[in-house]
Amino acid sequence: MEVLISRYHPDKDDEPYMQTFEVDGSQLHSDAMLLELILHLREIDPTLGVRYSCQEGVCGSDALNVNGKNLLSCTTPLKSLKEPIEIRPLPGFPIIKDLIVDLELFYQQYKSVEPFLQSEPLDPQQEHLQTPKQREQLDGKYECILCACCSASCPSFWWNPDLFAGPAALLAAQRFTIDSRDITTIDRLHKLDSPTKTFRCRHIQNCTASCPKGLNPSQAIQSLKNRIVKGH
Amino acid sequence: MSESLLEYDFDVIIIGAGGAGLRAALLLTEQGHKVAVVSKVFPTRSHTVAAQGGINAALANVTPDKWEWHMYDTIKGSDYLGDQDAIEFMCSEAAEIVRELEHFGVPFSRLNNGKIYQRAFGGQSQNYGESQAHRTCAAADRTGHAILHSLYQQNLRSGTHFFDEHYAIDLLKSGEQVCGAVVMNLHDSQLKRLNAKHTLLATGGAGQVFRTNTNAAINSGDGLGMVARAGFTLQDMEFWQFHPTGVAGKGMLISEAVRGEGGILRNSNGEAFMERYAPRVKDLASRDVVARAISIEVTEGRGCGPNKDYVLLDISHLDGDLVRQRLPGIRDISMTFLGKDPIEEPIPVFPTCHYMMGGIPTNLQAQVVTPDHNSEQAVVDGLYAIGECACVSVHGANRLGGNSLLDIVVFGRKAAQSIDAELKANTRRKISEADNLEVILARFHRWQLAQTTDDSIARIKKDLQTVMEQGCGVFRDLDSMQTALDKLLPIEERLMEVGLNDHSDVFNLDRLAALELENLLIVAFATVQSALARQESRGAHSRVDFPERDDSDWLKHTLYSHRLRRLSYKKVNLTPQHHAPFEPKKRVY
Amino acid sequence: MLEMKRLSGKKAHLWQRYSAYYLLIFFPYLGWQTLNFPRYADIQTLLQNQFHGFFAVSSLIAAALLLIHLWVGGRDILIDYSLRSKTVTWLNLYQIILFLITFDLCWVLYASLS
Repeated sequence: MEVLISRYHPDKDDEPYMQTFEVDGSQLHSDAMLLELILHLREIDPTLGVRYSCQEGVCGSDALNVNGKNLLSCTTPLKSLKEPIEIRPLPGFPIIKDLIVDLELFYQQYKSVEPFLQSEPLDPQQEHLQTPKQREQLDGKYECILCACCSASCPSFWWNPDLFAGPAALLAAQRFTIDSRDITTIDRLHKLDSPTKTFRCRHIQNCTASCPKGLNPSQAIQSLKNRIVKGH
Repeated sequence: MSESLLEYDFDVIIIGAGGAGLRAALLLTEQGHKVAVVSKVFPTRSHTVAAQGGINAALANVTPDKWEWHMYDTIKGSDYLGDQDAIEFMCSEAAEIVRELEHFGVPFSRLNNGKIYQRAFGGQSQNYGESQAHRTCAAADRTGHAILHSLYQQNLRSGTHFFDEHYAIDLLKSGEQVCGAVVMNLHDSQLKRLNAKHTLLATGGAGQVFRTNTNAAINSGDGLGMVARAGFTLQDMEFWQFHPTGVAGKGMLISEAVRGEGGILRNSNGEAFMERYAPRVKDLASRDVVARAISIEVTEGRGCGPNKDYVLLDISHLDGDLVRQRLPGIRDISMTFLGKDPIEEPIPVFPTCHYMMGGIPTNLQAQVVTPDHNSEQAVVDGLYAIGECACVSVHGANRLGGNSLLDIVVFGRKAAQSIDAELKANTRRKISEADNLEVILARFHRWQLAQTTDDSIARIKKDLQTVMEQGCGVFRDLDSMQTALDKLLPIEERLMEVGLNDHSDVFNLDRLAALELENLLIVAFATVQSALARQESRGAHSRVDFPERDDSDWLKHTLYSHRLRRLSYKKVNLTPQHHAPFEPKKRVY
Repeated sequence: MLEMKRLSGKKAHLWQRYSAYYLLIFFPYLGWQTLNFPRYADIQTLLQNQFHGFFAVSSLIAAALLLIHLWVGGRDILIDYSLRSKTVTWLNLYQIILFLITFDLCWVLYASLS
């Protein structure tokens, strides 16, 4: 099979270029994931740079742009990809080496929404109570693995990665505004009320389309905006 | 080269940003100490994130429960090799530490009365071995993810300083005292010398030493390698947990929660075979018991599939909505990697390497201990270890499901408390001047200069993993292990001679893999040597040639010194501080 | 002078929403009204004829809301696409242009009424 990979080594390349590999498909398992192919290529060329770790879609290291779509290489079956397979780093971030990008801005935005629970003081004898219904509100919000597939497919984030929090951060922001245990909701909504941080989202929905965990950041941002408008 | 070494001073450096490291970091930054966390990946990518089933604590939200029962189960599960004082401490802290996690934001699943949901897990009982307990607190089947992210988030609140994507190369030593570490920024290979009054290792497991494992690529036993090179011992390295239900042939973890929610293991005859091995608790026996049962079923020809090399984990009799609600992650894994919806089709499973019970020996304060000249256990000044890389030992010869997340947060907090107390009591403690910097740099420079050879790191690693899988799997005997040991020596020689293909300083993964492989090789030697010597079967160490447990000779911890390539032993603690001791008994489920 | 941090999120969002709803009703209404006039009428008679009663008030509101809608929409486009270092300058320029248009409209209104 034919595989094109974006290569860039800052010490010798001026800019990224596409390198073509011819791979003997029989070397791989019939139900192999894309990561297996990439690791196979790494054996051929150990200088190929790529992040990966858990290999089962929970650590969020191996987000890539493949055939134009952002995805996790470890949960994407090779069979589902049209040839030639074009593998590029996540768009919109500075490239460090080959498929490895600098996610600093992404992490900064995540940190900027204060993604941590602020609740009543701890009572060591008793947990905070939360009904199954209140807990259900968090489903689809807390499972984010910070792989950056969403933010790297969001045009609003491409334009303003320094101003716009982006889908991943806003999903986290939404999770803490609806967590029944959090006591700073109004304060949070007030801080998120900004034309750049939250209202830059135009609901293009690329984020939802690209989320490998099947989450819906676009909808979360919509409810977040509604909450900000209501003020509580 | 040493001119380009950047230098920093800290009160504490923590190596590893999984649950243990982050719990410790949180307390220490909150107490105002100057703390740095070094992590070779962005913290939320640490392998705690992959833990699924839950965390044990006797909250008694579902069934009556007491921490003493939890203590009994853990000791029995450990096949009496666990230190009873450590287990007592862990179990008595459990309820409070889980409530603390909840307070940090962990989105635990809930019961109708609003309390934390608890599920049944293997090896859990009420009233010292009677009916099944529901002790495992769960956030659906993503408990590790929930805990890791919440702890990282709380560290953002407290303002902990992180060295993300920095790799710890070796410990700095001044005499026998540890005074920091040399780390490398993966982005540009810049070396940094982090001087510290206290160094806390939280580097996690080393499951990459086996070919099929549930571990992440990063689990290469870096802390163990550093400790061994620093001349200290490793404990109980023969005990590796093979998780009964890894996806057959691939290794992804299928949580014990599946059996906790009612899943049943079946062989090719459709028989629920665990009834024969553990008549009372069946599929919820301890992990070592279930893993052996599956291995036996397959060896005796009752495996499923074209090659009869796995068994089936069946949950098709469970309510679909319950599966979707309680086991969404498992269903996701099954559909992604097998194309099978477990609500309709059973999951093919086979034991796969999951957890290292052994590790860096520590005392109850999480201080690293090592035998001194008189073979007495002496504290290593300035060095602490917690989590999977440590062996305190709460898991003994076999860990219970749900105890590992508990271990990391209990001892994460405990280590931080003892470091905090030490820093406050001893305000004049200075950072010592290291005397082993040259040795550390020399090791690193060898990989910087290594020219390309025919052999490669990837090939050596694969061979190492295969050797270990064949020699030290679920069942072992003298022959298999001796063969493994004989094969490890040439592998060691190859590693001395191999060169690298990548010579750049930017994200040089080839060089990183070489440094990691050096650690894995130490882990492999420790495992095989310790296992060869232990002539009994206990917990996860099942010898075909010595099938019985032998308390008179082997109720003791193994210590392996890589520097001396020698074993020594230390007593198991059988005297808990508050509860009456549990005398070793025959272990039946 | 306008500053980035003084730009509002929620308020702008609401104004844009409500102005859009209003214009969505107003423009078909305007179209329907216009169809009733002789097609050779010049713009001045058209305006003069229109500015009476209910239609006058609704048109005035529409003009104001249209300007607000333009401001929020144009503002967002400038934040999205202009060079970061020039964004504030562009926003100020745009604000001035909208002020001029407002002034112009007022003038036309005044002229056509007198």
